[in-house]
Amino acid sequence: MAEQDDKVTIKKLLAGEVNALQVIVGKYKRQGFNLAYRICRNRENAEEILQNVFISIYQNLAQFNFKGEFSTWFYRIVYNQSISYLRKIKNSGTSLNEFEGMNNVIDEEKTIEEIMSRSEAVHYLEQALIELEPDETALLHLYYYDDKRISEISEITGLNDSAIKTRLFRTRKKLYSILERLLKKEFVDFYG
Amino acid sequence: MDNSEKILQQLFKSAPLPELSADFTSKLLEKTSLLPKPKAVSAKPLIHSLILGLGFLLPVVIAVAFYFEGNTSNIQMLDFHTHFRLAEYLKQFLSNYLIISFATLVLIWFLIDFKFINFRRVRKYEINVFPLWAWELENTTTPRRNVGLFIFIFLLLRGKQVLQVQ
Repeated sequence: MAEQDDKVTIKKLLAGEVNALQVIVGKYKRQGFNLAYRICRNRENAEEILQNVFISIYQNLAQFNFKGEFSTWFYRIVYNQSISYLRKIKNSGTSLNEFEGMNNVIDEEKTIEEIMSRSEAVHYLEQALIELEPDETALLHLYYYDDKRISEISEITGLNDSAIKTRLFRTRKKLYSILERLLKKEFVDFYG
Repeated sequence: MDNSEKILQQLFKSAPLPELSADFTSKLLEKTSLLPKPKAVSAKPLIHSLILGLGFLLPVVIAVAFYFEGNTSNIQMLDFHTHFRLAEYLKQFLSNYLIISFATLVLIWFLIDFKFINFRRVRKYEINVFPLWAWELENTTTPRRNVGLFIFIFLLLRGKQVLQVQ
């Protein structure tokens, strides 16, 4: 039903009702921003990526295939633009550590007391996510946060279903081992 | 989903994410107001039609040519001279190299279709600009895969046969 609404809105936009863009932006900006943020790990950059995504969609709306779902198309563009953005950063010679150092706006803005009062597990998860590759984080985000099906993730990332399953399995394993290491370190730091 | 996955999912969902700037939408609308309005494209792009035409017609032409080439005696017997001349013409035109090149092209198309070659990774915006990819028969890719596989096997066998005769 929601997909039908999207298609109606897109048709309106194509018919010249520019206000329909606001409906699309309002509906998808949060989801797109979350994915872009998970991949590029920086709020300002994620916003910039999302601005470009919506502009790209606006300019290429005529190419939208009405047989497919708009949300999948949208996610695919967000995913690709975020990955391209990271590649550009790497190619420009900006250190990834420096880039990662800019991340985690929440932690920067919150005091130690606030972090401690927050769920410990979530805190460790966020720390562990930083150590994963951006495309691995994106997979986890799409599967666990956005509840996307394997077939949808396949459409978004361009990987086949079995590759998605394998990567999800490996990424989970990697995440668990990072979490294990972080927890051990914490234990050693605390008890000496 | 097992228990550890469920816990991971709960953690993911409770992990806070930053908020978008309050002026995000207004900034975006300001930018898009400077752009031309999007318009629906009524006709299919020329390249799309060309590839579709080649994808369907060329294999049919080749298949017909090969059919007549393999049955020339029957054709003569049945006195189908017009068809026979057409077959001769096409036989000359479609050299063995062309057959092999075309078979390779079909193979590449087939591999892309099955995502063995990940064409999407090299594309910047993921917008349907690759006509073969965008071509969908009744919202499923299976018929075109079957067609691709058939053409590839047919051309491969036929090309091998031609080379063996030589």
